[in-house]
Parts: sequence; C-alpha cells; structure tokens
Amino acid sequence: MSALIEFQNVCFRYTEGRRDILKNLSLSVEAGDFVAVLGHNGSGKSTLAKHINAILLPTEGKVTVAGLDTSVEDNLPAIRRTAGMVFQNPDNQIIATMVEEDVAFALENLGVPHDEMVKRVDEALDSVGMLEFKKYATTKLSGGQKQRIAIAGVTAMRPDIIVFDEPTAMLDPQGREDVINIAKKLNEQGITVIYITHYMEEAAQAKRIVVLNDGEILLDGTPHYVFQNAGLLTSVGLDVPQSTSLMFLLRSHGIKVPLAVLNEEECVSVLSDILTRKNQT
Amino acid sequence: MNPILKTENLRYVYGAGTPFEKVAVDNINLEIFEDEFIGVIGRTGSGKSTLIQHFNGILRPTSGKVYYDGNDCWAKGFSRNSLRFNVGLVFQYPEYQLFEETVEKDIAFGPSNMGLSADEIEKRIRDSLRFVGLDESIRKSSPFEISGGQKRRVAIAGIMAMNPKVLILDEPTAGLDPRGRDEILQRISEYRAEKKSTVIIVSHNMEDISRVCGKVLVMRKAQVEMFAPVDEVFERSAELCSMGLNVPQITRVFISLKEKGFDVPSSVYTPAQACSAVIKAIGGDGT
Amino acid sequence: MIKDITIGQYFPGDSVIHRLDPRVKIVLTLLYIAFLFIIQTAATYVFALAVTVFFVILTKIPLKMYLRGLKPLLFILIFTAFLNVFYSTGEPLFQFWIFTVTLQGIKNAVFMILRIFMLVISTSMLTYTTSPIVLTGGLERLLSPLAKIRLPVHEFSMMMTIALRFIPTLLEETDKIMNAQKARGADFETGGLIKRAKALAPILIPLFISAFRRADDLATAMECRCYTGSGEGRTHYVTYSMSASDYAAIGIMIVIIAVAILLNFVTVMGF
Repeated sequence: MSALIEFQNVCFRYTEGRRDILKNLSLSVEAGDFVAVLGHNGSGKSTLAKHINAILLPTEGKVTVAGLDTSVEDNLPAIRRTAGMVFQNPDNQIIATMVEEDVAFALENLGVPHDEMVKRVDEALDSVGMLEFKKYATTKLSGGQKQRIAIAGVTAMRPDIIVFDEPTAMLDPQGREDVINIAKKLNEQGITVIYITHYMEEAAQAKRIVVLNDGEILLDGTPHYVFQNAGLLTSVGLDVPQSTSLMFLLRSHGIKVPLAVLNEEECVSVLSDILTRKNQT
Repeated sequence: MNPILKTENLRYVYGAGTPFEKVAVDNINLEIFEDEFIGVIGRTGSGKSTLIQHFNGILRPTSGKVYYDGNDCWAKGFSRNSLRFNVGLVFQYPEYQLFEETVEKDIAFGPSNMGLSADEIEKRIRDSLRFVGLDESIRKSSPFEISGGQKRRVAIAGIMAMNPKVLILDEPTAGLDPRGRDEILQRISEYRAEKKSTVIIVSHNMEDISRVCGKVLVMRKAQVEMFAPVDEVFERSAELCSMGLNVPQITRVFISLKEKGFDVPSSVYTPAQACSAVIKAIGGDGT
Repeated sequence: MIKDITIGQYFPGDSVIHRLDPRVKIVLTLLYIAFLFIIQTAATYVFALAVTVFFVILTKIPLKMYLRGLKPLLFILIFTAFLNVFYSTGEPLFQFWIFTVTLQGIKNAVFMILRIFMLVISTSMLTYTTSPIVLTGGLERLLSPLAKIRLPVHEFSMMMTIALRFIPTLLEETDKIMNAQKARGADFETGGLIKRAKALAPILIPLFISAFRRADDLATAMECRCYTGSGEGRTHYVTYSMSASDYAAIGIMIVIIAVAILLNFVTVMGF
C-alpha cells in the first residue's frame, strides 16, 4: 500500500538539455498530513506542486496520487478531483463574475446535479467564511477574500488533497492569516494539505516541513527539527522564525534554553521561565 | 530647514458623486525633510498608496495642498513633469511595467524622458545597476527573460536612474523570498547612504521597516495615526497590535511578557534586541 | 479615470422587468423589434409609443438614461429624417429651390425617427435590466439547440463569461501601468499622431504581456478545476425557471402585437 502522494526518483526539466528543476526527488506524503514546502525562489517548489495534480509530468521517475499514476492520461479526471490546487495570484484563478458561480465552476464541469451543487456551493462558502458574499461580484473583493473564494472553489469538489502554491505571497497580513487558518481547519477536517510558502511563521504551523534547495530535498521533518538547522537554512536563502533565532542568540550567550521554539506561545513560556527563575534566586 | 515634501489638510475622494464614493485620505498634515528614511505602514485600504501618489503628482488632491520644496504642486506654472523626476515613485510589483527589448533600454526610459545626454544616460544606467546589485552583463538581456527578483531590481533601477531627490517605494519586497527581501532592503539603504536622498518605503511588514527606517508613519482609516521615530512607535506596540497591524513576532512576545508583569522593555523588534533585553533583565553579563 | 467607464450598461434594480427570465426577455425583445418593422400607420405608432413608455416606466430606470443612448445616433436620425422629408413622392406640400416637401415625406420622417427611437429604447431596456453574465447565460441556453449541429455555443458563452470577468481587471491594470510610466516621465498627452502612437508602447507592451500571463494562469486554474473544454456532460449552476410573471409577460406581448397588427390593418384599410 503506497502513501497518498508518492514521488519516486522524479527528475524534471522543461526541455532536453536544460538544467534539472527537480533532481531525482523522492517524497511520500501520508493522508491527513500538513506539509509545508520551503525553498528560495527557483528552488523547484512550484514545480513540485504542479506535479501533484498532473499539470506537469515527470521527465524521469513517477508520481502517484491515491495510487494513480499521473502520467496515464485516463487518470487525469480522477487525479484533478482528488488533488485540488490554489494558486498565488488570486486574480488569475477566478473564472466567473459572481462569487457563487465561481465556486460552482468545478462542480459544473464534473456534471454535479443542480440541487446537490447548490448545497455544496453553500457548504464550501461557509467553510471559508464567505457565505455572506455569495452574490457579490468577484472583482469587488479584496485579495484575501478572492483567495478564500478560490479555496472554496476547490473544496466544493471535496478533494482529498489541496495543494496551496504560495497562496499568501500577494496578500496583506490579514489575508495571510485568514488563508493559513483556513488551511489548518481544512486539514483538521481530514484534507491532506501541501502548503508552499516563503513565510517561516506560516511553515512553523505545519506538521511537517520539506525544505527544497535547487531541486533536491535539503531537510525533511517536523518544524521543531527543521528550524533547529538555522545555519543551514540561512545558507540557502531562508530564515527561521524570530523566536527561534532569539533562542540561538541566548544559547550563544551561555543561557540554557531549548532550541526548538517556534512560535509566540512557546517563546513566551520559555522566557517567563528564565525571568522567574532569576527573580527567585 | 524647509521640508522637501509637505501636505496641508490633504484630502482625496475616490469616485466622488458616484455610489462608490470613498474618502481615501483625509486631513493629512505632514512634513518630510531631506535625508529622512521613512516607513509607511497601515492596513490595506488605510490610504497608504493614495497618499504617496500625491507626492509625485499622479493624483490631484480633492482638497488641501501638496508642496514640493516649498512650491505648491498644483499651482499654475508648476511643472509636474519635473516633479515626477524629483520624486521617483516605484509602484507595487514594478516588474510589470518593464517593456523595452533590453534591460539597459528600459532603465534609460526615465532618463531619456528627462532629455539627458547620451553620456549622462550611460552613466545613470551604470550607477543604477550598481545600486541594485546587478552585473553589467545583464544589460543586453531582455527584461522578460531574467528571474523575478532581477526584474524587480531592474524596475527599481529605472527609477533610481532618474536620480530623484525623493525615492518612494510601494511594497518593494512583496512576494520575494527572505534572501530577496534582505537584499532589496540592503540595496535601498546603501543607495540612500550614498545619495543622501529622502527615501519612503510603504510596507505591510513592520520587520522590514524597523530594520532600515528612521521614522514610521502609521496610517489608519485614511488618517495619520502616528508619525515618529521607530523606537517611539514601537513603544506603543500594543496599540499597533490592537489596530490589526502585523508587528514582529518578537515584539508580540515582549508585549505578552510585559502583560504577565515582567519588567521588560516594550520597544523590542529584533532578536538581537530581545537577547540583550533578556540578559539585562536576568542581570547576566552576557557570558 | 479609465476604470470609471461602465461596461455593459447594466443598472441593477429589482423591477418586474429586471426579474424576468433572460431567455424570455431576449425573445420578447426580438419579437418587439420585428413588430416595430411591420407597423405602418399613425395610430399604430401612437399605440407602440404608449407601449414603449409603459415598459420604460416598469423598469424604474429614468427615461433620461434611455435618451442618453440615443445621443450617438443623433446624426443618423437627422440624416434619415432629412432624406425622408425631401425624397419622398406624393402630394407636394410646398416647394423651394430643387426640394419638394410632401406630406408623405414628413410622415415618413416622423415614423422613421420614432422607429429608431423605439428600437434603441427596447434594446437598451434589455441590457439595462439584465446583467451581462445573466444575458450570456440566457443566450447560451437559447442557442443550445444549435450545439447539436456542431456550432460552438458553449465555447462562445465561456469566452463571453471570461471576457466579462476580465474587463474590469484589465482596465484597472491599464490605469496602474499608465501611472507607473507617468512616474517615469512618459508623456501621453502632447505631440503629433506618431509621437502619441509611439508613447503607447510603454503601456501596451506590459499590458499584453500581463494579459498573456493571466490567460496562461487562468487556463491552468480551469484545468485544475476539471474543465475539459467541452460543454458535454456539464451541468449549470444558474438555472432559469419560468415564473408566473414570465408567462404573463409573454401573454401581454402577444396581446400587444395582436392589437397592433389589428390596428395597423384597420387603419391601413381606413386611409
């Protein structure tokens, strides 16, 4: 029994003779996981994402999604239904003029009967907190709201996997927070999430982080494990959350702190401990 | 000393007289001096972008005044074309405005509109490429065949090449990876240090602003909420947080610590500052 | 600003006419236009005018808006009126120089103006009261039988939908690029024709590149959402079901046309 998403020795290049964007990459993702993919611009993140629902096909190697080989043309409809995708630019993935019609687009394509469709559109809009905008013109929404509509358009298909390809790169902080929270919620409901981002604080919220560098996997593990490699991350143009770098600094000053500190809460509790201890002595 | 840019009761209304009427900025009174490095922050729709488009005469105030170097920008006889050369504005995602066949031609677009000599234009191209950290070898490349980060830099170079007295950048780091972000900010700082020009950066990212700017302008609901040196603004970080602004993670940590009753400073926004604050608080000598 | 242009000329509202099924509206408008071409007598014109005004009132959109649509046609109106007045045969009313004005001529001119006037109002009524998206949807459903003879009805409708969706986006983008180039000292307002045409390159090139990029992104996004390019096996989210007022509208229109034909016939005989 193979994993939900399986990359087996995948190489990818656009044309023969040009450089490999993915180099002999193997990766498997189990159902229910939340995998953040980090990497600098041009590291192959988006290319990896586009392999999951067969927009791109491996030059060498094999990708399977729910056991289906992406290179078999007959598998395409099933793969697209299983793995939905949300893209970076919210403006370029909205097809209809009206919110509800856009969410219904995939369902129309799948030939879902009308009554069922109405139900699923409402459900999907509700799951991203946009039900009240059902009758709005899509062009009148903010970037963050458009992105939520795009997510609803995908969840309406009831996919097992959603691939987010830098969904927050063009959003303001509020929109970013909304999108990552929705992704987490969908994951709790059982959807497997692949989340590509430049933001370390977003990646820190995943269950697993895969760091790509020049088409190869550099690090793969829990956020706590990955962010302990601060030096390695900065050497490939990435970063660690501020809390983590504070821990590194404190360590270098001889203060004993755990390195695996990723977010505000963990950092506050570690610092509270240090400060309380001091006051007691 | 006279301010290089000044606004007086500036107000701008979008779609006046239509059902979509919206006051974008209101009652703005600002003085910006030569050599200042200002960060503008605020939520989407707070009026940041509208405000900066008044500084180079792209937008005309609905009421109120904008002065450049003491002159009313909308008075008769004032040349707004020369205003645009004096106040260089880099829009959001500026790479989408590139259009020439080669990088050098694109950078030359502004300078040649200024009517500069070929020699001078050549010099401007070389200087601005150096400012944004691009190699001379890129000059003959098509601006559509270079990487995203390089495109962004070419677009910024195109404005720097006009040698503006004031350089304004709207979200210059949007969509870049951490290294790209650092690089761009670093380059802008160096440019400012060498040129001694006024620089204004609009950003959602307080971390970016705290790293390079001297003063912060906080916009809220079409109005100026704060305009003060970085440390003073971060002193009020709890307020910034409640305004829904995105303050750095480490700042939020220190707000929480303070709320828990610990005696820590509230103006902390980098891990280095946080580290020395912690060491000071526990009375350590940092060994 | 460029984005202030209202495309599609739709006036949102909730009148009886707004709520009619778009298919019914399209068919009735076509019928009405056909009817405008068969009427011949003064009495029928008066009747048609009354009917038109009645519908205008029902839409709750000010008459002013409809008249605005006539403005670009003013020249054609005057020109046809002129031709009709002077080049009609019949009893000469009076004469000067080489022109002969006949009663028939004046009558023809007035009729012609009224016909164009009503034509413009009835077509405007369709676009004013039906949002472009609903209009395309209605059109697709009406034309769907043609798909059986292999006409690309679905493709046409998808094209319209996407065009409508992207017009505001591209207008906004044009505005943005124009401002960005202005900030680099581009001058779009002065100079001769050639200079101005050349000045457009810094706007058009980025705009085209961006449009292609968007098209590419959109195509991928559509594929990801299981779009296969054919209308086969697709269902529709927006459905149209005829309500009582739609049947009433059809009934009223039949009565109106019947009355008009009768009136036309009677008065033609009478003259």
